[in-house]
Amino acid sequence: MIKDTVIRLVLLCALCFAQQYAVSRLVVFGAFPDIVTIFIVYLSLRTGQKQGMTYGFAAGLGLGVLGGDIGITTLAKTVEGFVAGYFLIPENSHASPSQKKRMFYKGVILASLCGRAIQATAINVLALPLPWHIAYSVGLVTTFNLLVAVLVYQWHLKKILANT
Amino acid sequence: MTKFLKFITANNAYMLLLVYCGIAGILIVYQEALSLKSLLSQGMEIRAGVSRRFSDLHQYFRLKEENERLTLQNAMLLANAVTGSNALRDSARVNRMAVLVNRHPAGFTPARIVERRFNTTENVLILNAGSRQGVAEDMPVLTPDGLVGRVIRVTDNYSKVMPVIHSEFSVGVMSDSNMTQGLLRWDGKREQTAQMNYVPLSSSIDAGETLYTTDFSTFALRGIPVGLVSKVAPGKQFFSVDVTLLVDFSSLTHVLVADKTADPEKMELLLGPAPSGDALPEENPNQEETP
Repeated sequence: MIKDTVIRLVLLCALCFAQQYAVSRLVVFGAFPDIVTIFIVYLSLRTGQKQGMTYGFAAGLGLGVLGGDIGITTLAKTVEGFVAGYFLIPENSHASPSQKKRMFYKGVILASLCGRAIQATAINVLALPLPWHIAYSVGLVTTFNLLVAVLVYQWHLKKILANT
Repeated sequence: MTKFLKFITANNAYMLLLVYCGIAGILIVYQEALSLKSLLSQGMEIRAGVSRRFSDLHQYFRLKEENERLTLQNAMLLANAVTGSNALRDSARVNRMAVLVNRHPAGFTPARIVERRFNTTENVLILNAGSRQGVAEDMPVLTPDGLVGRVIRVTDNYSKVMPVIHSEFSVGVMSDSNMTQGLLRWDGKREQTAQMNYVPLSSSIDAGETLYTTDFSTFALRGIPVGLVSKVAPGKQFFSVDVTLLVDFSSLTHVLVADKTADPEKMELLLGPAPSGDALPEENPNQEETP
């Protein structure tokens, strides 16, 4: 249990750095994917709402310290963990692989939408008109996240979640 | 009491959410508090340090291109210097003005851009010069081409700059020929185009005029070139003026930080007396809204 938690926290830290230094440079129309959100969703799916929320809170603090917007980022990531927790896949779940896949994708979409909506409400540094701001900051990022989630699921998570 | 405890136990996920949101709320409110600010500054130091390593590596592979660019820039500066010195020799009036300007010289700290963020959540430049190199908040940042932005946060070795192309940036500007004044802001539509606001219909301004910063600015030195007037269209009360910015932000690598911050006495007059003597507002670009 403790070993799992430590591994998850180390991974979360590594992903926060990767997000700041690598993924955030993949900017398309002002938006970029958020791999930390995807990992928080995965953790919430595996561990439940409370733990997912706590991981989200920790990730928010880390990203906030690195990025400079500590409050908003913490709030957004906490909410992402909370929302994704509704799609919990418990141990020894009888759900079929396709049901698990759908739950993971739904978690990513909903968490991304909520988290990005919070961040977009607080900041519009490019002075975009509201519809474009929503489209870029919320819609486009959610789409990117979903694409990355599909790749990650097919590449790795499929096996892990199938064995749950 | 038992019911209350049962309620808490049954809804502990919501309670935890409330607690976390509360902490996040406190962080939002006290983000500018000294202790949090120093934590964020340390975070920025780490981030900028790592970015600098990436940037160094990237620059190593671009040295040849950089040398060519510098040679070209040197040639241009030499041409400007020759033209400028001829003009100074020819005109006693310009000479007198130069003496006046030189009475309050501002030094410049050269810096390299180690990180640039231009996306929907962040729009900043990070320079490899901080308080140890003499950089302070509210110092203007420029290149020989024109104004780049203002320093909004400083750590020991790095500083964060809000560029002209930021929704919250504004600066008082004046045209060179007609001396028409206005407030320059960026509307976020095109990276190279900003708008000069509050230019009354009674004033005269033409396309092609160069805009410079004015003495009214709370951070910028007077006379930093900012842009060229590209389009003038009359509105109801004011002209709608489009300005092509002189600095190409997409290829910006090196900048100068002018060693001059807002005069505290002037700030006190503009914003009212400060009780603790710390009259300089931080990261408050709206203070420029006095055209």
